[in-house]
Amino acid sequence: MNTLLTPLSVLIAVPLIGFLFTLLAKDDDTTGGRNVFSVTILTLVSNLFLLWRIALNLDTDKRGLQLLETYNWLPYPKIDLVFGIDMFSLLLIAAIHISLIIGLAGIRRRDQAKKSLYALSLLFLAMINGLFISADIYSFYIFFEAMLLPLFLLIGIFGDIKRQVIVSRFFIYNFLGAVFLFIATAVLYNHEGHSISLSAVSRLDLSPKLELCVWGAIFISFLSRIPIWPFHYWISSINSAVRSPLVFNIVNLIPLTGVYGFIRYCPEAAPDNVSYYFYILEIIAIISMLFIALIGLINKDVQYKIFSFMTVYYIMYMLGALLPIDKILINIGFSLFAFIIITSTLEMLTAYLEDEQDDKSIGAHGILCRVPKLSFIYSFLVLAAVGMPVSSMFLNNFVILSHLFSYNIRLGILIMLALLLVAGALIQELYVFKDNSNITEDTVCIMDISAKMFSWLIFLSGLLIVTFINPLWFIGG
Amino acid sequence: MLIEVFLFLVVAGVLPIAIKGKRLSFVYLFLLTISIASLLGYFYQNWQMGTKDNFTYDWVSSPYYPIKIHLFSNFTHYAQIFPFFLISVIMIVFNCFSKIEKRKLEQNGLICLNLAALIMLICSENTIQLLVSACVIDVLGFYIINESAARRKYIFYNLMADMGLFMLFALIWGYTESIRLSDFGKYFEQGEHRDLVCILLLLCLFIKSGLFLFQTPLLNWNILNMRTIIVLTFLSTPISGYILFAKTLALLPLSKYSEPLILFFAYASMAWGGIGAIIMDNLRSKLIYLNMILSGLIYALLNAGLTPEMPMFASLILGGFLLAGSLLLVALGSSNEVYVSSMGGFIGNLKFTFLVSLFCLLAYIQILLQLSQTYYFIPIIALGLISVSCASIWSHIYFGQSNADERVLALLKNPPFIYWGILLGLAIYVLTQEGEPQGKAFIVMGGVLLAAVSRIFNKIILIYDNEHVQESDWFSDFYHYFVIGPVKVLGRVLWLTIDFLIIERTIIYALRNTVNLLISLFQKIHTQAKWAYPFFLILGCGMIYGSYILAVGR
Amino acid sequence: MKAYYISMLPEISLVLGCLIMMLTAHFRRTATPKTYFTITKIVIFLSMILSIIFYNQSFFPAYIKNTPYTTASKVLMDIFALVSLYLGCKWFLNKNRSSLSFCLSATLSVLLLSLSISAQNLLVMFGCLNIAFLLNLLFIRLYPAEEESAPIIKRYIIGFILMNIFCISGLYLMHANGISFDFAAAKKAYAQITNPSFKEYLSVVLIIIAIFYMLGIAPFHFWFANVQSVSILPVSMYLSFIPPVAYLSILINVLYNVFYPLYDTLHLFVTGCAVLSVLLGAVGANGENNLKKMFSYVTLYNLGAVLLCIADFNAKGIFTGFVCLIVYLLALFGIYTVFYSFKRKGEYLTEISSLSGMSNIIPYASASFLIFLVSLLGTPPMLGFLGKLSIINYLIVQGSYVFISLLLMATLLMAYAFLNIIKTIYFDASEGGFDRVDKGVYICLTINLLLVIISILNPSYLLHDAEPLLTTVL
Repeated sequence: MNTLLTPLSVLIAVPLIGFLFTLLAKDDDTTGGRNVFSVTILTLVSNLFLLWRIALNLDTDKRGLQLLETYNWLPYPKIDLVFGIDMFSLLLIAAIHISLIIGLAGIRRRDQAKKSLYALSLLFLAMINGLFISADIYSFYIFFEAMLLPLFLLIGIFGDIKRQVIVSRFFIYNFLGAVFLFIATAVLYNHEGHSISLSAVSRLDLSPKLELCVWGAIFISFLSRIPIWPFHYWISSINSAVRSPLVFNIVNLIPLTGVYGFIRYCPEAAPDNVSYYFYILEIIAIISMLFIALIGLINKDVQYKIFSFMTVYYIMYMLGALLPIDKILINIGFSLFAFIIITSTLEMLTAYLEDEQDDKSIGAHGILCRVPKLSFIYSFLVLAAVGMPVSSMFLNNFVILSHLFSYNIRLGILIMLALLLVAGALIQELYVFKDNSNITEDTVCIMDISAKMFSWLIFLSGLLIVTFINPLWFIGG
Repeated sequence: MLIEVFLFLVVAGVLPIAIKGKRLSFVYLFLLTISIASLLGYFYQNWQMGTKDNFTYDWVSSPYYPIKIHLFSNFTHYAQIFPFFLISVIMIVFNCFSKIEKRKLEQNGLICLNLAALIMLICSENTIQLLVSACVIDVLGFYIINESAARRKYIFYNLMADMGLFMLFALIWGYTESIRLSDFGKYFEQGEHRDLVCILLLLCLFIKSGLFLFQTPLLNWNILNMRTIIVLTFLSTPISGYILFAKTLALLPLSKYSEPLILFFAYASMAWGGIGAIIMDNLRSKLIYLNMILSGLIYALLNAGLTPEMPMFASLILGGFLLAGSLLLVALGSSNEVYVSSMGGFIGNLKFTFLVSLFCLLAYIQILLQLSQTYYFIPIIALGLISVSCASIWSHIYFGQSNADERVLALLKNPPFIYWGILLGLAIYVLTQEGEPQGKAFIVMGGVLLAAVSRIFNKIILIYDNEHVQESDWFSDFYHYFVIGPVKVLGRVLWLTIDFLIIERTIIYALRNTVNLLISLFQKIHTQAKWAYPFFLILGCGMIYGSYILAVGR
Repeated sequence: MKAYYISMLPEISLVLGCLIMMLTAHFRRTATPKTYFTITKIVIFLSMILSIIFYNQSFFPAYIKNTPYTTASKVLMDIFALVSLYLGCKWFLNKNRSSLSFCLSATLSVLLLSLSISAQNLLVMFGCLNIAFLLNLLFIRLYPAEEESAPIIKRYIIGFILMNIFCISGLYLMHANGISFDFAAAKKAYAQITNPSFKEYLSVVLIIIAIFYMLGIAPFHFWFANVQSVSILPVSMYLSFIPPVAYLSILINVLYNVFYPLYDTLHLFVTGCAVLSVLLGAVGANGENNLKKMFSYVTLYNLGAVLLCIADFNAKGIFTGFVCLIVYLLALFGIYTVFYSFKRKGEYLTEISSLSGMSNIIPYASASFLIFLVSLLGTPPMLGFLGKLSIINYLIVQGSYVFISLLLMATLLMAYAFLNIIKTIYFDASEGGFDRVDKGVYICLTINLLLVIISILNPSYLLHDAEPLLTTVL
């Protein structure tokens, strides 16, 4: 197949068309950003619809990528871009779309809702969609690196980050990671003489030295996306400093790309020669988890707590992905689906609270006491986040953790400890928000969320519960 | 049959939450109360008729992880569910007629949902159902507690317990590749880390039930109203702890530490509960400590062979509930006065309440004496502690010197019939269930009365006045200083040393300075043209010569 | 014989163009800047068309010989010259200054460079190159700030003398070694030498150095950035594209058609210069606040990368180098086009700091600038990626992992420099307005962007016949 208009290509094309439309849409003081907002929402919803159609065509019992499309791209070196999708990718793409819609809802009331924000978000969406439907090493690399530019601009322009030097370091760091992947990709390509599918990478017959170098580069590149110790610093600085919910949601999808990379490159097991070094990775991962969880616990910034929570979970997913089995892949997918929605919504509400705090010049203590709708949703989300059985995270994390336990119990215990710490940190913050000890009749309180927003959030909560009851509800599974 | 009850409870529970605050909500409240009471009747009827069915829902049909939800209607389940159903209905009725409860409809809805979750817990045949229902009970408990301060430690402790259980079951599943409770046996054959499994399991359950060392979240409930405390102690996490314990009993022989651990915590809880019930001034705290005695007792008995489906278990729960109810009557009669030191001499105005309390205690004593026939000294210890506690409480409330303020004295009267009538009826029901009251029961009762009337616990009022004793939360302080504090310090130290000192100040600075040095060197060479030309020419010449030497040499 | 004379038409048209311009200047006093540009564009366009027509015909094949390769190089050079002139005209119109010197120099320069590209004799080649290089002086002297340009012009002349010393010394040594200046004969003679002496080696290297010097390859790059910094924008743009295209074409021609037999001996030197260029280009770009100077270092970096491919003296290397060159030229051309929109109160801005908050005022120019910057970095999905892909892939095939590391390290450094510009344009607050951007600039940008998009979506369009065409040089 060498046409551009196949379902999977359209998944990339629709956001790109949306991107062009947003650039062309009239957006001044009279429109108040409505045009670009509508275009963006329409793009996201269209893609979600398309995803649903694709999902109906997927065989859930079949392993590996389906609906494969090949695009003959470059004559020399001969490179064909191959796209494919499975339920795991589909879940992630859907979650990302929902996360962006949540972010959009979050920035709607902010005055920073500019055209370029929407445009760059759509550009980022196109790139990340491309990444999740990539089936060969080159297309994977292209989208892996391509998403950095819109990301960098989004953070730099709309992230409200005071220390801009950190943004550059963040980019350089991620760029370096992409460079490593590029080298590995080019080496693998030349070794085989043609582009190879992602799942075949771990089965290649390479010399031990080359194998180590290639996999080392691959691992470094994916780890650069995950805030892993001791290189977590820039990512943590960025993530905890970003104030726009949409940008935060987007930034927090970056570790997902790293985790996804591990999953796709090591679907079952990495080569023996490389597996030996997994111990080092596991140690680093555990140190990172505990380290970031501890800092999340002591940090007073709620955004940092959400970041530490996300990081710990991402690392857990990564460790799950590295297990020498592929049957938990779908569990990771289901769990990630709920995880992304929960954290995005939490972030959106946190940004709302912070805005309200700034407006009313009040502290965080007891801020949720007189806003029942917001309080209910926030509590629900925190409970869902910490692992209560209200979303698909619960059951699927159980499966992932049980495999981690049976793989290495010490590892499992330390992961649980980290999960406990981040859960504690979130709950601690919830209680700061709900602490009514100093609330009197005269205390200034924030405005509760609108009925429309509440309905939307109830819908999301319902969606989470549905994912708990039946993760494959949308295809009648 | 249970599935119908379950679904009805879910609908009945969700509806009130959805329609709260709407007009005519009292109609809904009334309808809900009637319907749940009728449902209890329907349930009881089916129990008596021995209706059986095996409802199974194929939740996850994956070949790797098949998960089924079981709601089997059988005698065992009926017997286990009954006491909680009964308590739920009573509490719904109490809420319905309460004058001070502001969110009656929501509270009753939550009780319905909680009962549904308890049914699911009791019917669990696999660890997932067990875990899900235990967690749902936690979440519902969280919403039942309407005070932020009371929720805080509750959710922290329960979260820890849930994660512990989560880890434990995940670990077992990792080894046995089965989630069925009946397959725990496989873990005997292949499982490792047995001590860890047992100790972790027990600690999680003890946390859930608020046993000694973990009673802090329960004690924080003392700011809630009495009804809510009773709902929580007799329908929420402490109960899920017992049921989980009974369900996972098969795992405990794995470790030699299980038995001593259970016994230590059970007895320590009973002892600490007894002390607390006596020395605490707050009636709500006393209720919680009395429940702590009950929790310790239940764990000791479950360990000794009592099972939740036995009638004695239901009776024991109901006995504990009756005693708690008798304290609720006092609070209701005294316009919700909660400090015992501010009561005294209530016998004049609360004669009827006292009489009901006597019945309640008698029923409880009767149950404990019955249990002592099988389990010997364990119930006797509890009996002793409860008797002393009750004697002390009654002594101060009914026979002590009156310290009540004018408002309390002016409004002091027996609570409405609906409260004492139901409790009295329940006490009589329990007494009749346990056969004719034994002589021993009357003797113990007499002793309690004598001790109360003689006011031998009079001096305890000095402890009531001791703020340090009343306010201190030693265990919480202990955790704060020796667990949470060091963890936070560690976090801060790590942040300072790794993030700030090593990464930012060392690695980043070094890299940045190196790049800057390169750039400044480069600029110096280029901007100083008189140096640049010769420098690069010499470099060029060097390269020419070097390349030649290398190339020819090669 | 008739056909041979007709094949001189491209050169004749350029000479005629020069004459017409001089006549116009003499007889028409009210000539506007646009007049000379129109004449120049017409003659260069005509020359380009004629070059294509007579792509394989030569009027004096012993000295000047056209091949598909030379024609492709000339066409490339002419296209860039045409667009540079189109944009350069905006500058002169804006400043309302005479464009005679610029247009005349440009036409002459194109003529001389065309001749050098087709040259088959080292003497002819260096003769034309020397004059063309000297012509640059006319460019540099166009409307510069006196106090800044004087020392730089002085240094340029010193450099010119230096380059001639290299060139003459090289040619003299060649002659002393008994080697002909004719390409074919020289190649044949070098093929006889199995183990070259230092003298023989030096003669070759000195000739290569002369070309390196003109091209601005490290360590002989020192004049280029300084000249760029004082030149006016049209000159700067012209110097960044037209001479490098020609010099590079000549370098390839000389390396393959003259010095190829000395591959083993020369390879190390050429590679060393390439690596040094890449590194110095990346480091140099970081320390600059002047945009033109900064991009002259970017040019150094990119030329170094191209040279790294060429240094292996094989067809794949040339092809890879060509891809890198095209991609780099397109991106850099876009960058220079955007420079025409950096205008405040009629003055063209050259300092990075003066671009603060530009994205809010001229968003489309800023966005284009960003796209080209990222393309220069080789980040997908921009066209620059194609260049990076080609070169890395080629180096992997060659097993040059050390060069890959160095190249990528330099890319990181370069990225750091570009981020500084992006930060200023996009993240910093605006410090002043910008003049309205000329429509012509937008047209150029749009065409360039379209080319970039089409090329990245289907690179075959760009590279379809490139390989067979390039191999005609061999």
